[in-house]
Amino acid sequence: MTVADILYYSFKGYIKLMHDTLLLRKRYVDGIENLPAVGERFIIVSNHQNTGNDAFNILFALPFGRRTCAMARANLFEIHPYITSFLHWVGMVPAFRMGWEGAMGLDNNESSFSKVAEHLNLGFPFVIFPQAGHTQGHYLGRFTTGTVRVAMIAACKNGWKEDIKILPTALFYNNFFEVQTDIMWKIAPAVSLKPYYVEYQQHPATVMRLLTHQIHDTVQQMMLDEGFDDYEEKDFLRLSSLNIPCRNAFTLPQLLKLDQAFILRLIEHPAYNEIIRSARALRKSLEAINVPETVFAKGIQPIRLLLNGIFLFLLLPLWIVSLWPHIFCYLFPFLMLKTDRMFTNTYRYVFAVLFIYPLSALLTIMLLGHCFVFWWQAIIWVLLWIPLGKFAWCYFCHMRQWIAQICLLANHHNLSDIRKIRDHLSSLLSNNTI
Amino acid sequence: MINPIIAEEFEIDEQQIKPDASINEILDLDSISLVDLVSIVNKKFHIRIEKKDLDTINTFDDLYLYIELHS
Repeated sequence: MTVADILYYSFKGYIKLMHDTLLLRKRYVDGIENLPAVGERFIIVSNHQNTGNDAFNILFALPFGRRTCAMARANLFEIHPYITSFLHWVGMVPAFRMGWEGAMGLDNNESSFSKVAEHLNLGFPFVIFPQAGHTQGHYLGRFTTGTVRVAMIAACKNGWKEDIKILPTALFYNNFFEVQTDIMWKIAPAVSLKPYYVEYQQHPATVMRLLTHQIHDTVQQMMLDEGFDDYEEKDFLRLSSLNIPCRNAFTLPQLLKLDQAFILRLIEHPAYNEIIRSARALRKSLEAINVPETVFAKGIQPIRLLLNGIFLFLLLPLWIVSLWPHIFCYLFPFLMLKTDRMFTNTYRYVFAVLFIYPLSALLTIMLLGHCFVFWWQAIIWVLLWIPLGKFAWCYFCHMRQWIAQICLLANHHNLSDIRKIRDHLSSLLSNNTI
Repeated sequence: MINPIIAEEFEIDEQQIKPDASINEILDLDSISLVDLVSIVNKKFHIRIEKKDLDTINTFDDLYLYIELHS
């Protein structure tokens, strides 16, 4: 192992630890037995929603020793020369996209594809998101033919001798924007390209289209695809108690199956348009009073409200202490993010891992140790940041629920119309609930 | 003149290329294979289709007109 390898795996260990403790509550991987063996040449493809976090989640779900490369948007390589060097060092290759660089930039993809082919032929698995962009939620965009093209370039470079495989996978998140979330990575059996080599050399466009559609359909079947049309209303209904009264009672794999079944029944429902209209009205009414549907469905519970309030008050001092330095991590994306909220956790994670936590740890130890000579106490406190961070988030979630219950109580005189809409929806969906 | 080249490159029946047909639909274009089309136009007519112009080229008629104007 070289010094560069030691540095790489040390850095990877650190960012994996931070990712799995900060952002993640639980990771589910289904189909790991479909992962090709070490040394085999393969490309991992996946749906793409949570921007940079998709790549991190795949990277960290793989066995630790697997050094994987990925394509990243080309404009990342133009931020600063140090960032460019860093990205190349971790095995990233720039992907030029129509919407950003235009057709002229797409010419540069030829050299990128060649580089990917070289990595593949050296035995490094590659991660590509064939949508060439991310969606704004649980739906799948169209796949470009780039993945098959780059695989065939790699096959051509090794004289069409070795098999190149494409591994269709799908990611499912229970929440894109918050920390301590669950994620699931499903892996389908790999698609072997060797049977297509001869045909590809005669009809490349046809083979690329055929394989791209096949891989797209495989990914679509594995993921939650709510479709682009009426997305907000469908997602609202999916997450509501009209679908599953208590989502916490199920694991993420179970939720994926239930949600897929729900969306399918919803789309095929004869009263689909009426359901969507009512869902829109219900969503907007609840947003106006700042009450989530799941809180509204449970109704006003005064004793529970009081007990929760006491519980939150008693733990408030500990929560205040536990906020350092996590509060910067939680708030940072909302302060910085102006446009695409799908970048929330990517910004949060990158800045937390590279800046917020290292600098805060240094500051804490220096401040407490140097100024107050509490060296050991400072180090122990920093080591406790992980469980304290989980506590801080858990407390925040409880507080948020409590505030929603207060809002419900404050609006108790306004609820009859909202109840009517919800009851109407419930009767329409009565065949769609479990 | 360009139709046979497009049909060969994209492996479709030349009969499908009608003036008012959508280029994206007939050729099943994506952002990667779009480069192939741009490349054909460049090689055959020495015209570089600019990014800002791509949005205006939706049908084959639009493409022919573009080539005519820029050649």
